[in-house]
Amino acid sequence: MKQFLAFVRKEFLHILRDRRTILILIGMPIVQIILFGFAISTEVKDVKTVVVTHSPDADTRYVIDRIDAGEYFTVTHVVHDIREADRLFRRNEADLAVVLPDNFQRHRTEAAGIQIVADATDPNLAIMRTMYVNNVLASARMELQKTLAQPAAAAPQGHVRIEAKLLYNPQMRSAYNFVPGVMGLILMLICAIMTSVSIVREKETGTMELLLVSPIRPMLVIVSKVVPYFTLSILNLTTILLLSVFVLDVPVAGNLMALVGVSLLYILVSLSLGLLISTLTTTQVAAMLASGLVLMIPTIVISGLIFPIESMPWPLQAFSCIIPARWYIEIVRRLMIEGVPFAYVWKEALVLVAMAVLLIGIATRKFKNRLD
Amino acid sequence: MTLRYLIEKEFRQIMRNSFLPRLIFIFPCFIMLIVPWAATLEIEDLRIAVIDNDRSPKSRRLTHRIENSAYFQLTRLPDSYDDGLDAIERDRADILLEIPRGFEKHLVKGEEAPVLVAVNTVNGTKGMIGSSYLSQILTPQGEDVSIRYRFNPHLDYKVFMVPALMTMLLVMLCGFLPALNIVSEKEIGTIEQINVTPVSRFTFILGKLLPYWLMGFIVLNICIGIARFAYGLWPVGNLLTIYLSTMIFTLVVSGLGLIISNYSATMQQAMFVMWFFILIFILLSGLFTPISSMPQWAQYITYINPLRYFMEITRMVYLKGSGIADILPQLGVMSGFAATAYTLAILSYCKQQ
Amino acid sequence: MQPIVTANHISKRFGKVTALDDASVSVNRGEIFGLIGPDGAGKTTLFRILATLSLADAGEASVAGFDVVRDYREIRRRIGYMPGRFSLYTDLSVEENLQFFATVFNTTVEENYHQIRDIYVQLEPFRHRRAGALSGGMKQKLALCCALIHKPEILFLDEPTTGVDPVSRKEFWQMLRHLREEGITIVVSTPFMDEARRCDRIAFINDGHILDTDVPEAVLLRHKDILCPPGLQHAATGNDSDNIITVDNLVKRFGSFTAVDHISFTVRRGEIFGFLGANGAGKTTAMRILSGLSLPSEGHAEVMGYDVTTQSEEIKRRIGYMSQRFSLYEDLKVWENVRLFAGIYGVPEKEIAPRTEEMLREIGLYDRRDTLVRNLPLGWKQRLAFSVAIFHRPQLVFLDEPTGGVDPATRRQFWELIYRAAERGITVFVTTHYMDEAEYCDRISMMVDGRIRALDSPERLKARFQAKDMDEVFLRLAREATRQSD
Repeated sequence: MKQFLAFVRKEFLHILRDRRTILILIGMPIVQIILFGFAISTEVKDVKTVVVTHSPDADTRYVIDRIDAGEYFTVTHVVHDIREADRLFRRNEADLAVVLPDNFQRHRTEAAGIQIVADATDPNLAIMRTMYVNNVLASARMELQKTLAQPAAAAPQGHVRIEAKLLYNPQMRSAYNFVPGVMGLILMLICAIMTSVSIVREKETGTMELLLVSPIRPMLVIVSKVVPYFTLSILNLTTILLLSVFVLDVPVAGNLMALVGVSLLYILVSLSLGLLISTLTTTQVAAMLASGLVLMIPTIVISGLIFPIESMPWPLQAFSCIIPARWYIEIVRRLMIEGVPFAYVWKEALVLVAMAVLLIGIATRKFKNRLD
Repeated sequence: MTLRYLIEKEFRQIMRNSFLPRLIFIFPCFIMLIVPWAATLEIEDLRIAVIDNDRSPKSRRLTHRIENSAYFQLTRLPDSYDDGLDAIERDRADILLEIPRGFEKHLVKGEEAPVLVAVNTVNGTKGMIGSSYLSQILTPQGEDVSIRYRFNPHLDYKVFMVPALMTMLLVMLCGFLPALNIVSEKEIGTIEQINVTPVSRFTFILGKLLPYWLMGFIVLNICIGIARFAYGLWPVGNLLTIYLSTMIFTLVVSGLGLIISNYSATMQQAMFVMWFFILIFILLSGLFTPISSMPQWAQYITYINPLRYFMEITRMVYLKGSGIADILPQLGVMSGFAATAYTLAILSYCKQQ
Repeated sequence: MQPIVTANHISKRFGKVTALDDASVSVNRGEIFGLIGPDGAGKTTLFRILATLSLADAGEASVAGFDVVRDYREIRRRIGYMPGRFSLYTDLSVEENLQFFATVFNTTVEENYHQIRDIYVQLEPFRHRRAGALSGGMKQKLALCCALIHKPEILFLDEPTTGVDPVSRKEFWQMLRHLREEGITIVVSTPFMDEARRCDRIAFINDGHILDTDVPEAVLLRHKDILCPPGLQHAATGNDSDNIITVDNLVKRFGSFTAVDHISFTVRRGEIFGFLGANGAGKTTAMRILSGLSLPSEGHAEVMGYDVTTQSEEIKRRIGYMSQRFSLYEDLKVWENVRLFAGIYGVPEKEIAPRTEEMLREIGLYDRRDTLVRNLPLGWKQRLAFSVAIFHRPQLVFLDEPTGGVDPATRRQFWELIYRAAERGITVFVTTHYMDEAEYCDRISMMVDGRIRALDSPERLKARFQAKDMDEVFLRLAREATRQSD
């Protein structure tokens, strides 16, 4: 036991001595949470809009004012020629063009033939922007029609009124979507990369030779290496949760204990992955690139962190099943944000348990008691 | 011409490395061929549950319209709102439509007929687009407004991602490899032997930079090839404009990598610091989310993010066909960055203690 | 007597290279057993197999009665092992390293302090310093302390004293004798023949074969061509009136620590100048200042008439430098390394190829010009590094412990190269811990505690201290050390 503690102490010293790395390990989650929470958003805001019109009449001015009024759109240019709008698109000076027909005012009561041209390089944004601007235009024209002396004598027509209810994330904050993902990413980064690199570093500098011939069981050496990173992960987990609750206002809607339990399980999976990488590589660079490329890229891209899994083609969906982060992010999203009871996610949790058992099994089997 | 020997040496080392040449070829192929399929925010096949309390011809017709729409997939017809909510919690539906009793009656009378739409908005984009689609089906309006999607008429998400992924690859490869380079010479000890030679700091750093510059060029061409043959994407604008801006951009990131390398004592440190920067670069570049949606403070930060400018250029030239005159501001800023990065890389490299 | 370590017909290959071929040794309980042989002979491989770190391809071995394959756990409980290359935690302090290893071996520093005291007192003033910031020899001493902090049944030491100064080596061997008296068996490899003589028995190993096992004198006699080559003869060079290096009251401080303390001396053009001193006496620091790698805190030094503070780039153009750590590019081929450094020093393109060929033929590496430097034996790497350092025909070359870790015959070959360079008029400034090499110099200086205590020709120094060899001179001077070196 004393030996084990000596090992753990040594590992902590290694980490604490490297100020820059520890600063990054602790600072990275904070920066990521703040960036994802505040900066990364897809809300429609300040869309640079061009209005193309030939007839600067009162109605046109009214419509322009209405578009410009909200925080969604900013009319940056009013031009006469659609080609001018295209030129602005090419310079990134416009995102959206509203083409009003000639003699717009005369069209109050009839179909006007308005055209909306959107820069669709980003398809989702284009869809959302056109929908928004369409709504603004429709209500503006409704107002215009009302101001007519003779209201259109159309027969009263029944229409559907939508009462929308936004579940779980009524303010549509992107933080709700990203917090679980950032948790999955950070824990994987720290547990897997740090563990593998720190073990391989001992191989590279030759200290592994000394540790192997010492009377301690080699597995104990490895377990002691894992302890500090485990602690660090808990620290990060706490930081992320505190930040998301108090800074981002993302509450823990579900059972906190269940959330912590699943997180510990995920940390275990990540640590054993790191352990596995360390047994398969011999140099720090190889370990870093292996964990950086083979682990991090799928964790970012195919885990549902940013891109929803159900939009992917089926081979990738199938592949995503072997990525631990996919399951973890899904569980956290539902436990923490949606607040469902644990019983609803036990299957996903079981997958993580199976992964942990499998990975630990392989890593122990692959672990070498000798140098070659 | 000392430079020539230094560059020769770097190339030999890169080629002799068992890992790097493969990385330079395989990594771009992997990213370009797989990620565009995964990195899609295309919203389709939203799972909808309809609670039809009216069970009238009109409500059934509405349900049919939803079922036939391209966007929705009718997964179940629960009996009550609570059942529907349960379906969402169990992750079997994304959106819920409740048609109350008396729906048809209201409509026939020419009154407002309220319906309840509940959307899972954990993923805000998905929820928002889903509810908008649904409201279009429920309350068709603005039929006389025609919509034209410029530059990407089929709203293909891959068109949006592919040029962006090229820039991401260039940042990663041309950023990480130089960051590890000088610090690895420090760890091995060969830097000492170089420091005691008369080679100037200017030449030494240039000798480190140029190989990565060329590597960036190779990576770019692989990417352009894959974009053409796998996705049928070819720059609408001039290819040479892309080459020119890539040349400037790789100088910026490789320079940054070398600066980090100079200040780091171990490879691990260099790696983590670079990670940190690249992450911020990518998140604040407009790659995934538009810069205009960011809060003001974040928008200010993007002004010092070289990737922001390069991302803009690539998408502008690739998709919109912008000419060199259109991208002059971005090119100017990037050239400024390149000069600064190179100068700092030289200044931060000390031959003497 | 009952053998405690036996190896029977051990063979081990790494790819195409045969490291050990049918090697058999047996070590008796309680003896100090030496493994002597050139670099790359297979010593480290044998150590690793006996320490249960490596598996042999053929043959069997047992340690303390246990089989190295089956019962490796039992063996690991009973042995102590010090690997050949420095392998401590550079980011932990001296004290933390020692405590860590004591705990690992289930003991405490206090319990076994007496075993390491003689060497550890030198480290004690720096016990809070990080191991990575120690000088080369000091690191080795710390590694020794960490290996000796516990009392195993058998101690395996792979070249424990490489880079360690003669005084500390003597202390180290006294410690080994104490341990032997307590019944500990010691297996040790060494490139120093004076250490080989202190063993009870030695085995001479070459090319993976154990060629001879016997008492030291007998083995050394039978293989004297490799192990005890005759000394070199060399006519003194050097021009009395022309100084190539002038050092005047040079000081270098690191924080509150003064590594180089007001030294003044001159080096004459064309001579071989030996720069001696205990580990951490300040040799490497002084040398780094003279070669423009480091700036002095105070004082003045001129190399070839250029000021080291302001004109270091001018100096670098005109000198050659070979550092303690072997520093050619291991992943480049032999000729590629030569071409690179020739190019950096501005040797004209046309001349590089013919001169490379001439040089490689001279040192016998022409046939291996396409070999990666990584795959060369250490002795050849050193000769290549030296030849590269003088390829651009500098007037002056700095060599920092150029021959660490190789056998006497290989060192002798290296010194033949130095003499040839001296004959061409190149001034050689060399540091070494081998006292036989000190005798090869025209003049030597002895540095103690950051100051120069003596400077003269070897003959005159010996006469002044009435010593029979340089070893004795060194001991006399170094024992005066008041500072517990660094």
